[in-house]
Amino acid sequence: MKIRIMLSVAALVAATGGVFAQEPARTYTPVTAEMVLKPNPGDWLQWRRTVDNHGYSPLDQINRDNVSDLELAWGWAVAETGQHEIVPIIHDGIMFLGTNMNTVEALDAVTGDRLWVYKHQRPTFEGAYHENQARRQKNTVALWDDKVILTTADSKLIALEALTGKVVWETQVNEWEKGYSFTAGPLIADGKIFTFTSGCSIVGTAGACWVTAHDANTGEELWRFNTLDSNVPEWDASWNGVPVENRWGASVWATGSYDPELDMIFFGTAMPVPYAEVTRGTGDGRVAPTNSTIALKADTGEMVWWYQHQPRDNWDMDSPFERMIITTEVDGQPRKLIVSTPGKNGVTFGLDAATGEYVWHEETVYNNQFGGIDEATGLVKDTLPDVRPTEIGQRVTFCPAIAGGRLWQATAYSEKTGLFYLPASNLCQTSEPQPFELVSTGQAMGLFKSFGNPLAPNAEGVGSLHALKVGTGDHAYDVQQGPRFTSSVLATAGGLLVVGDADRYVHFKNDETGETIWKTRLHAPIGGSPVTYEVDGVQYIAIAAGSSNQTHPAQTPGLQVPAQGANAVFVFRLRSND
Amino acid sequence: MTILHRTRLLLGAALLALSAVPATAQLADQIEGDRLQSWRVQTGNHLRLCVYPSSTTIEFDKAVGQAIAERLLLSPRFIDLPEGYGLDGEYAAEDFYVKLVNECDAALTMTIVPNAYPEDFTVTRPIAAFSYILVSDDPAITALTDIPATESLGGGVMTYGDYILGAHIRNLPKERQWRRIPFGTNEQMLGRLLDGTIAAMVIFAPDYQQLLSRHADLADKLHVAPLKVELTSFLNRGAVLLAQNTFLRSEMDAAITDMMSDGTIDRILKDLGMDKYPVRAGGI
Repeated sequence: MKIRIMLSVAALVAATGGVFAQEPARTYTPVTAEMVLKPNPGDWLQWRRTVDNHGYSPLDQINRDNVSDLELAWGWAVAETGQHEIVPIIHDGIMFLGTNMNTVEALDAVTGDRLWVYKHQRPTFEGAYHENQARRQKNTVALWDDKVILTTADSKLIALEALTGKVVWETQVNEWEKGYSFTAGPLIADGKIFTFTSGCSIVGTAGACWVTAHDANTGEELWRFNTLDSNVPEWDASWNGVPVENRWGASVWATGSYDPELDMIFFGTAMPVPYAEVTRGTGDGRVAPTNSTIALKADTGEMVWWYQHQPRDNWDMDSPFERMIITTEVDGQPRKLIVSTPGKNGVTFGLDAATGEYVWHEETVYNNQFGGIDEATGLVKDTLPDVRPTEIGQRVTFCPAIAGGRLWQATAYSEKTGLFYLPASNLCQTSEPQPFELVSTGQAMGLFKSFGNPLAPNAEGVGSLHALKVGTGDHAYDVQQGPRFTSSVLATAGGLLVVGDADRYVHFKNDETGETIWKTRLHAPIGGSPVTYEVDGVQYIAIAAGSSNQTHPAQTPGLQVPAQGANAVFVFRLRSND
Repeated sequence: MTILHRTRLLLGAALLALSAVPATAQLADQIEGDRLQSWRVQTGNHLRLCVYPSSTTIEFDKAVGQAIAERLLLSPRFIDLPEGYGLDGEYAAEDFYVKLVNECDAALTMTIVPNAYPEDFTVTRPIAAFSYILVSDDPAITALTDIPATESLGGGVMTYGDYILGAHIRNLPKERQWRRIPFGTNEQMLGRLLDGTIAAMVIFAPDYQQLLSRHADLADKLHVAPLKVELTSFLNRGAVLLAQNTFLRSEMDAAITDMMSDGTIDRILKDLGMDKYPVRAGGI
């Protein structure tokens, strides 16, 4: 049942401090559990639109035939500077922008007029790491009921009134003082809000990194799961005697996915910390469950299965990225898979969603770290020995680089082509475990030094885009270009892939071939996640552009990057809709 | 020509010049442009010295900074660097670079190891070398060799002391290798020493002195033994500057040399009680 909420002009003015004397009253349809599982075609309710993380829109008004007729409808400079990893969220004609410093703005999705702004009040962070986290907030908002749900750099979960931006409730999920933060936004499904914690490479977070579930209506915590210590004997044995209180890592940097049939959530964990095993004291241990996929029962938080994608990581290969849930044909039978490029090394996996059983894997970018699959067990073998330093100060060239391979830029899956799309980069890196601390303060604080980022062998440029068949992992096609693709990928029913690059171009590609049909150039590197939505019968595509530290000008001849990011969102529509 | 013959005018011009932002440094490519000042700051007669405020050598560094500034006919201005990064230093180099571009002429409290910093930075000659020491609460332990291989040893994760301990252990026969446990904080490591989890800990001497200042009751319970690998257990302290600041670097090097010669550094160490454990003015 839909409840229509009416809001007075006076309330709007009070929330923004602005003057909207002639603004008509606006209505808002609360987001229901049913809508979360099957959003209206014109909506984009969460990070990847749907809780299976496909990043796909069924809208097709803008398609291969008319995409060159796109024109700018409006643009908006967002409220904060910093890394521009934003994801516009759209419902009922309102665009919600959760940007850095946890500022949230609501805009009219048709005109770009601002409706309200929420400025987050947070403590003065004790750690500089936190300050930097606050400057790179990603998909921090999602929609539920008549509220905008926000995760913050100071580890809070907050519900804002969707029509006013006023705080309805808030809860402190983790102790920010220890170093915990959120950079990724919530997953909302099954009447719950799930949060995914960052910052578990900070001294104070030793032994615990968290995924939590909350009542979506109150924020009350229902359960929490520790990705470093959950009474799993195999995990304990894999740290080679290093006690739990001396373990770091397994941050959960990206928003998870949810399957209603299995009633399970899926997410990934990041690298072990310190990066180098010779430093962290774990010897030949596989340091589980770092760089793993973990599946939990949504109701209880009980672990169903886990699968490790890069054991014995030594170079921050970080495997927390989005897990998609895709039902496809495998060996002639329909099978529900977790399909993901979980880590920076670019290796893409298909796992059985119900059991975690290995189904397939496929390499994408050049890789000299991945140990391959043990055919008998289906488990990933240890990271190759040539890139595992045995002494401090031992210089190693490893591929991909710490900046990827792939990074936060999200993959997409087209339900029309059956292809999975990965934006990545062809970079290697030379580095060494450091033999010293930056400064002695009584608590650890290192300094990472790189000796350069050469292009990967045989690479034609930094940028690459890979299209894989989800039933087998076979490559449908691969695209390379000079500049890196610096945004997530959007796939649409119009036969389009939308992805932007470091050279400020937004590419509208044929989803079956990777060919760029039309492109347009904006003021800064393309960032965040392109999304599409529909209001009053008109389809729009929103593109973020601004600061990016994945532009790699030294490896991209001719690339000029603006000194000032000027983070902004641009919205396009077809000229014929004028 | 001695340092005192240099003119204030020359220094002032040099300090102004070093405020310019380098265009080609790799680190700069990873930093949003709006974080870097593009104008030159009028610094007057100040030598702007960044310090990590929680450094356990902070008093020494400030005293040395004062003495260096006096030799350059300038007044020191100490500016705190941000702290609290991940174990592997995520964001630390970028923030450090921003601070040196925007606010500081040089940074003290810094560990100096050859070729260890990103190419955007350069280092002065060492000012002093402090040592790592072995601390235990067992009077029977007078050296590493007194500790049975069945015991565990502690070190601060990501520290030089933990590195030399690990390297030493790896060079021993398997049956003589201790288990090394890397700790995130000295307080945590002390706790595990006292509860018997580890038999001894390898710790930076200035850190140990700070730890004792907070736990005066333990002064009689704990004792210090030399490290078997003592010859490599010293860690240099000095200053770090932006790579293009070659003029100021040479001036600071000359000042440090001057202070070694006239005993200034030794006097500061003695005044602060930092000569209680092995330390070498001028570094190693």
